[in-house]
Amino acid sequence: MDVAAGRVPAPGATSARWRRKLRKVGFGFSVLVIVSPAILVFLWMLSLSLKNEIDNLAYPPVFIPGQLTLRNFVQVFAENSMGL
Amino acid sequence: MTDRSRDDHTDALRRRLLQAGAGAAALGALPGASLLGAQAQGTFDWKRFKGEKIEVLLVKSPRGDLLSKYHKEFEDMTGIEVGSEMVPEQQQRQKAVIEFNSGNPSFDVIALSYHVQKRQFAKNNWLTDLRPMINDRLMADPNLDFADFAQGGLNYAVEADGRVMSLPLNLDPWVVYYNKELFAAKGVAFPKTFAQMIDAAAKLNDTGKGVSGFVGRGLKNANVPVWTSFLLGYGGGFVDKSGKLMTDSPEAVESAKMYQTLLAKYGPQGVAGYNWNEAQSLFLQGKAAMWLDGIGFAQPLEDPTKSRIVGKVGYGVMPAGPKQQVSALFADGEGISTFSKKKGPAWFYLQWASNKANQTRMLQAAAGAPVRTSAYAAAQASSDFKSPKEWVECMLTSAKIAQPGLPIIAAVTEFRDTFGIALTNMINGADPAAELKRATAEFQPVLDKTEKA
Amino acid sequence: MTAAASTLAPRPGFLARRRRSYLLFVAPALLVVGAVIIFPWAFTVWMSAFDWKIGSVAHFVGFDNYTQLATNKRFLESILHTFYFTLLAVIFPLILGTIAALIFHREFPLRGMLRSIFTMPMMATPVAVALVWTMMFHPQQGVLNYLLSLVGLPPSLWVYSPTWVIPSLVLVEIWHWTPLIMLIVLGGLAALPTEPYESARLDGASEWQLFRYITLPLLAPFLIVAAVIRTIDALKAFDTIYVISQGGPGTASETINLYLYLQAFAFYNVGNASAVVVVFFVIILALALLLLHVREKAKWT
Repeated sequence: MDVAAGRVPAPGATSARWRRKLRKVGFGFSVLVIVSPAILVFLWMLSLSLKNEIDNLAYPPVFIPGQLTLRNFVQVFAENSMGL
Repeated sequence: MTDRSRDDHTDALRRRLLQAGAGAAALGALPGASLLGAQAQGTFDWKRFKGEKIEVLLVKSPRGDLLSKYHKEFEDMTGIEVGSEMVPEQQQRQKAVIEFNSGNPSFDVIALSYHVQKRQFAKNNWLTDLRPMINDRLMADPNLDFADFAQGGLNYAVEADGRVMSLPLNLDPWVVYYNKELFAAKGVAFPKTFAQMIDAAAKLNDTGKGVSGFVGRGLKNANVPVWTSFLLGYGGGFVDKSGKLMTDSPEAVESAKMYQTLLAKYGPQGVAGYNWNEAQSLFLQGKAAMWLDGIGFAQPLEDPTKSRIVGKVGYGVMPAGPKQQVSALFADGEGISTFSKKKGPAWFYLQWASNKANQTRMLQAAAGAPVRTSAYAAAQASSDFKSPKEWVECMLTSAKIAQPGLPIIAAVTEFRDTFGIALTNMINGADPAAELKRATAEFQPVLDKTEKA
Repeated sequence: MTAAASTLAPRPGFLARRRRSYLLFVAPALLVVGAVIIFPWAFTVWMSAFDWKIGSVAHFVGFDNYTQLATNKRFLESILHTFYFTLLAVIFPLILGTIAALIFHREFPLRGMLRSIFTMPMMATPVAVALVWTMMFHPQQGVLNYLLSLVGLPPSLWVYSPTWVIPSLVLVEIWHWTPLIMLIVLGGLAALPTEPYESARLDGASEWQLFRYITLPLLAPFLIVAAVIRTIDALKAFDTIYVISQGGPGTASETINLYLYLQAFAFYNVGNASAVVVVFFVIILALALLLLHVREKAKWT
């Protein structure tokens, strides 16, 4: 015990370390909660633009379709001059 | 009025032939033309207004797209340059009102939606009467063939006093799209009467599988034609001869009850906010057994990249109500601004846009339903034809029993708004009779004020 | 003598010329303000005294439009909807934005990138956003109901229910504008002095006490500014509501702005619409002044 005294940390310090870790995880979780709505909607928008109409109207929603398509983008640029 | 113009023409033709006696030999190069209902051959020349430029205001829609695609053909044929603008529907209507009101609109030709704009344009005399040009041998295309336009379209294009204010281009009667697979699974036949329709909706409604017996527009303003489809079948009307609203009559209440039953009981959750878009996507996914809406929305139904029910779609004519079988009709066409300084070239554009070739193209591309009856036969004969035979039959039958689906009044948007709100409230449980009474009382003063002014 | 005097005092015409050139410089700005702000406003007030439907003749009716509005049930309901919507659309972004600012105030890895992601909603086009949310709100085919079903909750009608339409629209507003509040409050947090915190910590204050008694009062001016900006924006909110629900179902989400649009651009009742504009402006002005008054008071703490 005397020999190990130098290396084993004091009893209160272990739980303090766990508490710090827990707080960090909790903080990370709250960051996730805050940022996810922001990015998920944009990701959904991206998903919608790369799918065919039939997948876009499907329920349960299709997040990653079997068939990706660039048709929507082609159509947008073909139909609108967009001042270009 | 078609017969009258025919007589006028044969008379005029006779006169001219007698006058031009000796000159007839010189005109021997005339292409063989029948005198039947045709304007006289003569010196009609597509290139007459060569070098002119006209502005056309179109609505962003499959038909607008189609016309724009072929503008080059018109320019080559006539030498008239076409500047065109395609604007989304709501904005186009506002643009029209504001520009006409200013007295100096930026367009010569304007596409108009009859049920919304006809009365407004006529009351303010914003469009040119086309009759002088139709009857003018030099201005009228020999192939104009006025008789080819379906009666429903002409009813819209011509005013009560005989003035021809526009040429109709597209007919949109309301039909009942139905899912053949769902009907067959439950052994139900397509309904022929209103009672059978409600019955079918009840049988096919399957909340467990997420299938609705019926879907239609519930969103205020957009939903009124669904109700008027039923109203017409019950023999009801909108406004009587003295200008009083008939929208709280027993027929109106019965048809509103039918609307409430079909949508609230057998419609999907949240149908109160459905416009044609949401209804169409539900139907496309095979989640609705019947969908009442305009026939012009059919195109995506047969498109494999959009529809899960390709080949299973039935096109049913509006079932018969207790009094009559009527299909609510909407139509659009094109007219010439009365302020235009280029009425001649504009008239040539109108004739080209409504000619047989373009109408047939419209049908082939499933961009709309042409007003010209000849277009149907012509399109079916062609190999490009994509629309199913059943759709064409439904269209032709519906056009025969079609009546305007909205009152032809100046304040039609307010009408749709007032009664649309009443209908949406009914979906959410309000009493149909009370709502209609309230809406009628609310709208009557508006009608009086806007019709007399 | 006279020479000295003349060099000391400004020459007589000097001030007059100064004033003239001053006017010359101000004139263009005055012209623009007059044309773009004052004239349309005066014309609107003028129009509100008429009963005018575009396409027909205008009749002078004086205050009739206003008296009609006072008893117009639909208009009065729209005022209620506007206040309800504004209240929710201001309070929630304020709270959530402050929380987000507190989180982003701390140092953690990838903070910069995550903060940029968080501000993305603010930069999206309102109409595009509204369209995507409309699809997400769909009762049968929308993602939101799917997510609800994943956690075992029953599907909601969202914007298709008269009761839930305004909260659902507020949800979109929250998503869209919380980043703005976060940025304002973050700026405020960055400007906070550190001494009070050090001394409070030495005295043994907890995190919550630190927040409540030091952070919050110091942040008050920034929160008020954010509240004023949000209130004015929420009162005027149009594109989100129009694109998603058009004021429906029925008239459940019809705010003053929607009602105004309907009167002016769908029914062409320009006289009536002008009266609505004037009333609306008075309401906005009153609320803005109220908030600024609160701000003045907050400065004392």
